[in-house]
Amino acid sequence: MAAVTVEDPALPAGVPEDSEPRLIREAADGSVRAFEGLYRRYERRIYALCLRMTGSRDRAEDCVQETFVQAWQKLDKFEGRSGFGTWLHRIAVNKVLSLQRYDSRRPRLAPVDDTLSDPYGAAPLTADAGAQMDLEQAVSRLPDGARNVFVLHAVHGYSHEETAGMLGVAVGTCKAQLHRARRLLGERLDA
Amino acid sequence: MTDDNKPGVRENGLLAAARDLPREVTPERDLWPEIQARLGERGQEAAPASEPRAKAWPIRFAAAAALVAATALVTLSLVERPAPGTAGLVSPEPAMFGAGYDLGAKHQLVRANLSEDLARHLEALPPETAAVVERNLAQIRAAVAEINQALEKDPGNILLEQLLMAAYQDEMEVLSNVNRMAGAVPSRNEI
Amino acid sequence: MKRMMLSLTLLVACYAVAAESIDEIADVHPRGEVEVSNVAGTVTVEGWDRDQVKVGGELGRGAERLEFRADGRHTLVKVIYPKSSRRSGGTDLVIRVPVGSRLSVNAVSADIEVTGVEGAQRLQSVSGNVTTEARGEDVRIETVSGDLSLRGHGDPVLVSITTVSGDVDLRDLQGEVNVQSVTGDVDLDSRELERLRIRTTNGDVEARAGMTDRGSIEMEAINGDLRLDILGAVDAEFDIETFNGSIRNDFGPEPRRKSQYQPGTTLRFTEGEGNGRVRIKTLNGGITLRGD
Repeated sequence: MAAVTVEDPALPAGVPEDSEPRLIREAADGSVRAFEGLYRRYERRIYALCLRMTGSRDRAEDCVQETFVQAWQKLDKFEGRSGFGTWLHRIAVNKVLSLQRYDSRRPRLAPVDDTLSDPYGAAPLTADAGAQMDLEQAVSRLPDGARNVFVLHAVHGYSHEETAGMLGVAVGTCKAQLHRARRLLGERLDA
Repeated sequence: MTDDNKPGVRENGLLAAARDLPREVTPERDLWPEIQARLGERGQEAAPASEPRAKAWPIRFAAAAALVAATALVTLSLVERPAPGTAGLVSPEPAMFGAGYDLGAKHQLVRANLSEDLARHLEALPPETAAVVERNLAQIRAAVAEINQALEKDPGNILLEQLLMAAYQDEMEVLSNVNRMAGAVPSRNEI
Repeated sequence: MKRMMLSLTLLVACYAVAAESIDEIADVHPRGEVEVSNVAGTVTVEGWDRDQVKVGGELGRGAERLEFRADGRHTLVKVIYPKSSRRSGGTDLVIRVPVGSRLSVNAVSADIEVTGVEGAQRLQSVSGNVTTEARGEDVRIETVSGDLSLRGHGDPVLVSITTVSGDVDLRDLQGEVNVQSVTGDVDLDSRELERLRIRTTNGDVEARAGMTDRGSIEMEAINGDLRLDILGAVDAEFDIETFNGSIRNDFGPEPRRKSQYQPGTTLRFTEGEGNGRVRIKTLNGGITLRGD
C-alpha cells in the first residue's frame, strides 16, 4: 500500500513527540484520560479532514465521534508502524467513505449538480480570507470522489499513492479525480 | 508531482491556495463528552450512535462467566468415541462464546433437542454413515472449543467472533439437515 | 388344493425374483413437478422433449414395488419397501422427464445422476453421489457423505450445496453459488460468478473463479486450506484474515501481523477501483491468493 512519508502530514505542529507514545500506551491499557489527551491533540485535524470531505458540519461531527470511538476500540492493535495521526486519518477516511456509500444508496432531495454556477465564485483568486472562504465552499460542492481526493492530496498533503491507498482506489483514478477537482474548482472560482 | 504542471496558472494557483488552507479546524462545540460516553470496556460494543451501523452483532454480551474448559474436554472425548455410542451427541457441552459472552438459553435448548433427535435418527442409518456424522460433528465442536479458548485470551477479536458464530450455525445446520435427511429414511415401522 | 399351492408358489416367486423390470409411462404437464424416492441403488433422470414421464429400470431384491402416481402436474416415483424387508439389493431407476420439469429426488445410499433438466432441482442423498447440471433454474443439493458434482451450461443460476463430508466439484457456473461443507473438499472452476460463498470447517477449497462487476467472493474455513485463483480482470476490495494460518498473496501487498502480541494476520488492499469484494477468513487454515 502506501509508503509512509518521512514528514508525517498528520502530526500537529508544535506538539512534543515524546509524550505521545506514553499516551498511546496508557490509552491502550485502558486509560480514558490518556485517550482524552490524544483526542485533544488530534481533534482539530480530524475535524478539518472530516469537515472538508463531508462538506457538512453535522456529518463531520459524527465522523469525528465515530473515528475516535473506533480508535479507542482498536488502540491495542495499533502497532506504531505508521504515525498515530496517519492511523487516525485512515480511520476517519474510512468513516467518511462509509457515510458517503450509505448516502449514495438513499436518494437525495436536492441532487448535487456540478455544472451549476457557484454563486460565491465571483472574485479571482487572491490569498486573503475572502478567497479562502470561496475555496472552502467550492470544495464542499465538489462531487464526492473529486472532493475526497482534493482534500487528502491538495489540502492535507498526502501523496498520490497515500491518497489512493486511503481511499481504496487506483493511483490513476486518484489522479484523474484530482484533475477533475481542479477543473471544476477553476471553473467555479472564476467570474 | 509532474502531472500537476500541465494545467494553467490558475490551476497551479489553486493547489497553492489549497495548501494554504488550515489543516486544523476547531469544531463548533466540544465533542469529547459524547465520545467519552461511548467508550465502554474495550471488547464490548460501544453504545450505538444515530449513524447507520455496518452490521449489528446478534450476540448478547452477558456478565463475565467462568469458562469451564474441563467440562468441554470431557464431553468432546465422549463424542469422539466411535459409534454406536451417542451419549456425547445427546449432551453437547453448553455453547460458550468466550469468557463473558452468552449465546442464549434458546439456542442451547434447540441445540440440545436437535442433538437428541439426531441420536435417534442415526440409528436408522447404516453404521458407517452414522459414524461419518458423529466424526464431523466432533470436528465442528472441536473447532468451537478451540475458538472459545482463543477468545478467552483475545476477547473482542472480531475474526474469532465471526468464525465462532459461523461454527455454531454450521453445527445447527448439520444437526437439522441430517435429522431431516435421516428422518426421511423408511424404517422398519414404515409401510 | 393344487391351485392354492400354485398361488403360494407364485407369491414366493415374486419375492425371490432377483430383479423385476420397471416400465411405467404417463402424460404430464411440461413444467410439472416430478418427485423421486429411492433408498438404495441408482436414480438416473434425463430430460426429454416429450410431455411424458417414463420410468424404466430394475426393482431390487427386497423392494416390494414401485409406486407410480401421475396426476398431470405432479408425478411420484417411489420405491416401496415392505415391513419385513432386509433392504438388500438396490433399485435402479431410469426416468425420462419433460425438460422443463421441476425435479426432487430423495435417496439414502442411491447415487443420483441428472442430465438435461431445466427446471429447479432439489436433490438429496445421504451417502450416494449426486451429479447434475444447472440449466437455468435453482439447484439445491444435499448429502451427508456423498460426493457432489455440478456443471453449469451458460445461464446464471442460484446454487446451494450442503454436505457434511462429501467432496464437491463445481464447473462452469454463473450466478450465485453457496457451498457449505464440514470436511468435504471443494473444487470450483467458474468464470462469471456474481456471488460465491464457500464455508467449510475442515475441508480444503480450490477455487478458480472470475467475478462479474461488483461481484463478491467469500470463503471461510476453520482448518481447511483455501486457495483462490481469480480469473480475468481483478477489480475488488480484498479483506483477508487468518488467526493462525499463513497468507500467500501473489497480488502484491504483503500480509501484516495484526500485532506482535497477538496472533492474527491480515491483508487488506484494493485492486482496480475496488468494485468487487473478496473476503477470505480462516482460523488455522492457510490462504493462497493468485491472479490469472
